[in-house]
Formats: sequence, C-alpha cells, structure tokens
Amino acid sequence: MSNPLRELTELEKDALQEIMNIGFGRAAADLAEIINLHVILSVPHIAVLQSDEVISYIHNQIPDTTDMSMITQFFSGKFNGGSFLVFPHGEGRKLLRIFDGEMALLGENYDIDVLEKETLVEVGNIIIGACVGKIAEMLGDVVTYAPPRFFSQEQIFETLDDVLNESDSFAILFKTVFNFEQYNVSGYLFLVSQHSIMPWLKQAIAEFLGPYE
Amino acid sequence: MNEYQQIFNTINLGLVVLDRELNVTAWNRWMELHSGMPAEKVIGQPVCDLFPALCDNSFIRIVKSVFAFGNYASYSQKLHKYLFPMKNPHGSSAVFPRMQQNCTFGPIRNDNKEIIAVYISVQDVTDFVMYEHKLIQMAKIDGLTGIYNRRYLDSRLTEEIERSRRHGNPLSILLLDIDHFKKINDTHGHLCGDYALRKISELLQELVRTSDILGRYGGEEFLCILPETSHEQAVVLAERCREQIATKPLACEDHQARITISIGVTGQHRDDTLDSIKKRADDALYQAKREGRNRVCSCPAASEPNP
Amino acid sequence: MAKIMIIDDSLVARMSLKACIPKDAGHEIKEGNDGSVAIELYPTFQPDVTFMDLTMPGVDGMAALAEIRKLDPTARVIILTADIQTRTIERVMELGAFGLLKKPPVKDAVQAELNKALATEKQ
Repeated sequence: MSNPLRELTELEKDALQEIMNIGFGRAAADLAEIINLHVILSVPHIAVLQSDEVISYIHNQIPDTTDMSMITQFFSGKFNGGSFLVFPHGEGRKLLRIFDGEMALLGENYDIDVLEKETLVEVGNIIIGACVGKIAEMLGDVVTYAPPRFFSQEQIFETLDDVLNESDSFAILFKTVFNFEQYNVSGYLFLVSQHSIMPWLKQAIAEFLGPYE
Repeated sequence: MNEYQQIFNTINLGLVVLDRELNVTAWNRWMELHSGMPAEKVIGQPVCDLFPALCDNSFIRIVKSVFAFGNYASYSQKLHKYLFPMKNPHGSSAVFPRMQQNCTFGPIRNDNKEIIAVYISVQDVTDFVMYEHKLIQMAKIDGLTGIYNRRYLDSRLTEEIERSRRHGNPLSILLLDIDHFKKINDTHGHLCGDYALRKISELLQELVRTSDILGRYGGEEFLCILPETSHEQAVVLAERCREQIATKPLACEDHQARITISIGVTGQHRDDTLDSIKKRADDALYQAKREGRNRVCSCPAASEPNP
Repeated sequence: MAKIMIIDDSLVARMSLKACIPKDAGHEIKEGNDGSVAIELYPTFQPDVTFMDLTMPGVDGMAALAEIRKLDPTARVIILTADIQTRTIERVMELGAFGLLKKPPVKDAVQAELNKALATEKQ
C-alpha cells in the first residue's frame, strides 16, 4: 500500500472526487434535458480496494438487496472499466413510469418483468453513458461502450464476482447515489476500474489541477 | 467498392446513418429491400419526414443521448415492437403485419473525436417473436378443448375485477359444470368423455359473445368471464347456454347421449377478490346441483351497486 | 479589500477557487467545508461575498443559502456548483443567490462575478 503509484494521495482523491462531481453535474444537466429527469446529486465517493473486497464493499453500501436489479455496461478507453447501475428494493420498477404514455401502445398481455428489464436497459444505458461519458470528458478521454446487460436479484453478485475477480489485485471504485426526484427513485452507480489505469489517472488529475497552481 | 462497403451492402441487417440534423446519410441495401425505398430517394432527407411515426419520444430521446454522451443505445422489440415500419417478410403477417425489430444506436466520431453522426442497426426478430407468441398462446390454452385454461382465466379474472372497479362497469361470471359426467365416462368410456368436453366447449364458444372469456376451469367445469355484463344479463345468457346444451343430443360412437349442465351465476361486489367472486359462483353452482341439476342458480350482487 | 467566505466540502474546489481570486487585492478569506460552518461563521465574520457549493454532506448549500439569507436578507452569496440542471439553478435564484457559477471555476468568470457583487451596495 506504500507504493505511491498504487495509492492516490489525499489531494488526488479529493481532486478526483471533484472531477466526478462536475462530471455527474454535467451528465445530470443533459439527462434533465433529454429524458426530463431531474436528479438530486450527492457527494461521490472514491475508494481504492483490493479486488476481492469490491463485492463486499458494494454489498455493504446497499442497505436492502431484496428485489434488486442491475444494469452493467463496460467501457473502454484510457478510462477503462465496468459500470454497475444498481436499483435496490424494486426501485427500478418505478422508472417504468417514464414510458407511461408509450406503454399504452403495447396493448394487453405484456409481462411486467420483461418491461422492467427493457426499460432499465434503455434508460440505464443513457444514465451510464451520460455519467461515464462526462467523467471521461473531464479526464480528457473518449470511451466506447459494450452493449448493456440486465441482471436481477440472484444473478447480481455472481456476475460481479465473475467480473471483478480478475488478474488485477487492486481496483478503483467510484460510487454515487442517484435520486430521480419526480419518480422518487434511488439508485447507486458504481464504476470499477482496474488498477492499471492509475498512471494515466494521476496524469489526468494533474492536468485538471494545472490551471490552479 | 472497398470491403467495408461490400459488408455494408450485403450484411443481413439494416444499417442507417443520421447526421446531427437527423438527415439520412447512409441507407444500406437491406433497408432498400425491406422499406421499398431506394437509397437515392432517402439520402439527404430528414428521417422524420420519411417516417413521421418514428419521431416519437423514445426515438428522439435515444438519438439525442447518443449525440450528447456517445453512448451505445438499444431500442428493443419488447418495448417498441419496431422502429422503421416495414412489411413483415415472413409467413406470419396475419399475426404481425409489421416486421418486428431490435435496433441499436451508436456514435460515429470524426478525427477530432467529435460525434458527427449516429448509426442505427436494424435486426429483424419477427421469427423469434412469432415463436414466443406461439408459446404464450400455448400457455393460455387448454390442450384438450382448445379454449382458455385455468391459469389464464384466473389472471384475466383478476384483471377484469380490477378494471371493473376502476371504470365502475359491471362484471359477471358463470361457473358451468357438466351433470353426471362421471357416469358418461364410466358407461361410454374416456374417449366419449373427452369428446363430450370438446363438443360442449364448441357449443359454449358459439353461444357466448366475442367479448366473453370462456375456458375450461377443471375436469368437467368451465368458467366464463362476462365483462361489462350485469347480473340480470348474465342470468339470461346462462339460461340460453343451459337450454341449448340440453336440447342438442351428443353422438359418440354408437351412443346417443343427452347431456345437461348446471350453472352458477354471480356479479361482482364492490370489494371482491378473485377468491370471493369464485366462491359465490361455486356456491350458486352447488345450489343448482342440489336442486336437481340442469338449471341456473345465482348469487346476486349485493344490493349496493358497483360504483 | 473585502471579506470573502468560501464554503465547499472539497479542498480542491476551495483551492481552485482561491486560485481564481487575485492575491494582490488583499482580500481576507475564510473557509469552511460544510453548510453548518457557513451559518455559524456568517454573523461573526460578516463577509462581503460568500462563495458556496451546493452538494455537501451535512447541511447542503441550498439549506445554508436559505439560512444565510434569513440572517441577512442583503447577503451576497455566489453559488459555485457542478449541478447545472435548470431546475436547480431556478431554485437557487429563488432562494436569493446573487449569482451562480459552474464548476470548475474559471478565473475571468469568478473575477467578473466577484467585482459585480462588490460593486453592489449593500442596502
């Protein structure tokens, strides 16, 4: 842990938090315009963890894991990693109301579970794209995305386990809590990057701080 | 043509590119084929002029998000059925007149990494949707009689109770049971019993209205949900069913059998649940059996009418 | 010379803002990392201008802004925030903020807003 490249200094961590904060703010402003979704922003959190701690960390962050659903999407660029948008306790279902008007066109006999999944994939993908895209932009990078995937309940931690127990022994974890005001929906966004991005990340932080020195 | 252009034009997938003003800048051969619109008529045109119905909320939302965030977006058949209205090219056009589509969107960037266009891929998933449709149909239908099964009846009745409560329309149900069915089975054999079940299902299906939902509820028991039907109208319909069945002799192999049915009728009460309304219909049916069968008994709705 | 209060939970945010305020003007600057500090400090320090973040743990900027305007209806509070959603901006202005700057701070914009605030006579 004493290896300076492995850890972020307090100043770097604070700067990264501020970068995320600004990234999320920009994402929220665009989301408000595009999907008419006003977000109550919270202070983002950053941690450098051992890979095998990530799951228990995420587990501890979410108070109630019943009826949970999750969208994952991987992104690659210099900023490289996975994003996990988690809606605990049936919160995801509330987002169906975004499609209220359009849902009427589907007629009868649709399966609410299927609709929840498809809605979360469609909306979650926009939310993830907005957040990751704006943070990458703040860090001077452009990322590309793999298609989003939906997981429910029991598959979630299994999936995280598969994804996170990779070779890298450390992971950088970014967390923020979302609250979509008019739908009263809360969700968590976790971004997990492999530790190998650290040198680039430190450089990007230095460039952000540059004009203020 | 370079190799990418060849792929673009021969791939079994619709490919479209839109610029920031939502003008079409590329339209592959697959799109020409299925839309019947040649590229030269489409290129340079605003996509919303070409397909006005397409520019609804979600399409615009997705295109805007891809331009703003550079994300990968999906537009699924499950939520939207299709994006581009095109003829169903398969044999299933009676069920799905339009080709069912899963679409994806993504950004196209210039050398400065600025997003200058959005691509759309269009996948024809009509065949899968058709299989799914068949499976869903099968899960609703009773194998022997071809009318709805118990599972479907229960879920529909739950919905209808809720709908009737919301809109304040009346709702009634009939519970029908073949009299002395065990005797038919015992004297004429199971084949005759099955035949009787099929024949009665057919007759009942002809007697009820198209808006009524008829199914086989158990062994020789049938349930018919009558939306927007008052208790009095339901009794009239039940009486007609009973009478028609009683007057039609059933021929099975060499036997001629007269079959009768007993029917319990009830209308919805204000606080009904699936179980409470079924319980009343069952009580009425039991009364009809006790009073000598081949008759209609009813458990009328409470004096307080449905709001 | 003026008295300036800077409230932000992020050290980097406070640093970057201070870097945008000219040093030779000799302004007296006090800092805090939470809305509750702002409310506590305001009556004793009596700043001419307050720069404040919105998203903070504890008492957030919205609540602190409302409280400060109650303490001093002429208080000049410039909100410096990452939250640039239209609805947020509307609320901040309704609460009586003097102005709103988006993060990260840019020297010219900070100085222009500061000068504007200092030029506005306290009624």
